[in-house]
Amino acid sequence: MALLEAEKIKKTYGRVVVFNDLSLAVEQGEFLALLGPSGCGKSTLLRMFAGLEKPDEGVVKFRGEPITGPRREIALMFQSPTLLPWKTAMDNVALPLVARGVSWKEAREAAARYLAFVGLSGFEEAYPSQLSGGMQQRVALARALAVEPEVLLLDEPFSALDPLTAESLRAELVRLWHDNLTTVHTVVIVTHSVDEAVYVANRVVVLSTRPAKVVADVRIDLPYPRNRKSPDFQRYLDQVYSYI
Amino acid sequence: MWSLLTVLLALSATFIRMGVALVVTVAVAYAVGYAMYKSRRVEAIALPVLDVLQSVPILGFFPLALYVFITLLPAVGAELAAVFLIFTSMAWNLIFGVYQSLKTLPREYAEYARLYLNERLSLGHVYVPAALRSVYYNVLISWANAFFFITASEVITLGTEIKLFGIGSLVVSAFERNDYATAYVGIVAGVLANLALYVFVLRRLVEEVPQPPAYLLEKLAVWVKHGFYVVLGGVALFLALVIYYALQSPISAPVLEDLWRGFVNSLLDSPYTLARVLTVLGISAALGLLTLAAVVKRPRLEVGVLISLSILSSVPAVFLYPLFASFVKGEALALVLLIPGGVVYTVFNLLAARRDVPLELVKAYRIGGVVYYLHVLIPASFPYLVTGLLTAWGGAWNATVVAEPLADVTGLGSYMSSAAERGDVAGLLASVLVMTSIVVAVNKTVWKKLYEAAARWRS
Repeated sequence: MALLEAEKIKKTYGRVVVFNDLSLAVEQGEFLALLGPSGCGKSTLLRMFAGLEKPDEGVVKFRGEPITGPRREIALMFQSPTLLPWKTAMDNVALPLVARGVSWKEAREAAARYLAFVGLSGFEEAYPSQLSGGMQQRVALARALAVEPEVLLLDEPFSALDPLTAESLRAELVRLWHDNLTTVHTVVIVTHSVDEAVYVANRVVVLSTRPAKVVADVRIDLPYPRNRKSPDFQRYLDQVYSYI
Repeated sequence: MWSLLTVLLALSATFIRMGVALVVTVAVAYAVGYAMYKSRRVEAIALPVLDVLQSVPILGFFPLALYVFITLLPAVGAELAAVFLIFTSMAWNLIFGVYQSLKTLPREYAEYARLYLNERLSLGHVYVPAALRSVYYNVLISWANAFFFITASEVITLGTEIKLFGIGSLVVSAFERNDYATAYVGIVAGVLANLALYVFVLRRLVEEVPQPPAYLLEKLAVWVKHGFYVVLGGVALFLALVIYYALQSPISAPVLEDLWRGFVNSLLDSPYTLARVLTVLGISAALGLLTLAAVVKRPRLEVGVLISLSILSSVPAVFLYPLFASFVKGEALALVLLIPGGVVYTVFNLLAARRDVPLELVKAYRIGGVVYYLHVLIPASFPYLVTGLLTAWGGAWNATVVAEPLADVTGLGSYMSSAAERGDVAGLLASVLVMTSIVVAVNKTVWKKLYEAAARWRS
């Protein structure tokens, strides 16, 4: 049984048909990159996995169970950090834990741990406006990890960052997942960068324009951390590019 | 000495009353604003209702205040009636403010709340804080607006006159007795108190947007979640009482005749008021654009302009009246009393346009003179100008009920206030209906068109 599954889903917004009979399964332990032209419905699919949207027809499942709303095992990270500007970095990370019944004291302790984990020790009391874009996105990552999910969904998490910051966060994310440093065993990332997809993922799924269909499903068999200069990396890049 | 003490006591009484009304207003604003954000059905009903209510002049609420509170609860009714009247001059912009700030909250925040939080924590830590900036800003506006009408809230006249102890009624009574010393002390005290309130409290709220402590936010969350039902219950009770009183006095031929006469008189008096309001808008727009041009040139002026605006807005018309009455009379006096309100709204909104004026372009291409005004400043600030004038339009009509009788000129405002004074409920009702209809009708046609034009420009 696949971990996450979209079965023959259909979705329309007014007259725009986003999906017409799309199926996709994500196995446990995968780092899946969803690639496709902008507006093809990658984010919509991600939001269905997160339980924020429902298909008009068909079903989206987690471990064989239909997803009817947000689930604790699945965390989503947005394109923008979406931090509460009136809360410190620590309280931003702690709040979702409080919502799960943890006391503020314990939640803050956990938050401090996860902030340290993403390299933000010493910034616990900083407000989002005092942090750079990259640091804000790190706080958002700490927030997503702190609820100890099994699945991490990422919606173009690095697209608003400068290239250098994006690169270091990307490498860190891969390390967290590959070295099993957190509870996350499966990652789905939406991206429009072929390079990013081949760099982070062990499986790349390319979607077509609306209504989205799977046009390619490529397994990236390269060791981590990946070397962009290796001929194999280039080969995979060329292969994925050929589908776009 | 004695009169100074009385003045201070009266001032405290007024501020306590206004404080109570403000707390009620903020609570109602959060409850209703959140319900409108949450439910499309509530939104569809509440939006037009609020649109009309915010255009009803304060005297239009006199019968409600009088019949519901004073008749029903003779002991504390008058106080409740005053708080209710203050509420009506504070509430609408605050409700809209909460609603709009929730409505414009980026979608990700609502999704974040759904993914990671429960409703209590979402309200306490996401929605209530997200609306705070707008709430603080509107508290400033509401306070000034309520103070402008403070005499109307403390001296409720509908045939019989009910005077409550407070700074508004104190100044009015002092003038009636020709006790100018007390009146002036009262005016100065009122102005100073509002100024202090602005400098020490309101300005900080707006600039620093302080967050209430978490436990308070979470308590407030409980109210915001369920408060709408309490508000609905209150409105239902109100309506039931009004219908009950209406049924007790069945509509007879003479009443219909009174109503008819009221409508005719209101319509005959409207053009005078319309001309005054349009003049006020014209002057406000011109002053606003000139101020904007000056602030664009020298941004340092902004703080000074904001402080002058808040001083201006904290001084009610009736307080300005004795000062100006010694210089001007009649028509000019009416305009002088009406202009501050219009200017405050227009300049406030236009100042926000400062960042939309493409200053570097203007400098790089040396655009100046008439071309600068016609092709850069006015188009760049047009949406803000429309918003400011729209607010000033409704505000000016409502302000005429205070300004016109003071200036002793013919107009809808004068007619309405004299109807209230005579206890002519039919005339009052007719004039309130006429004024509200004019304001709402023009909002829905002229201002809406201008808004759409502005929106087309900007995107």
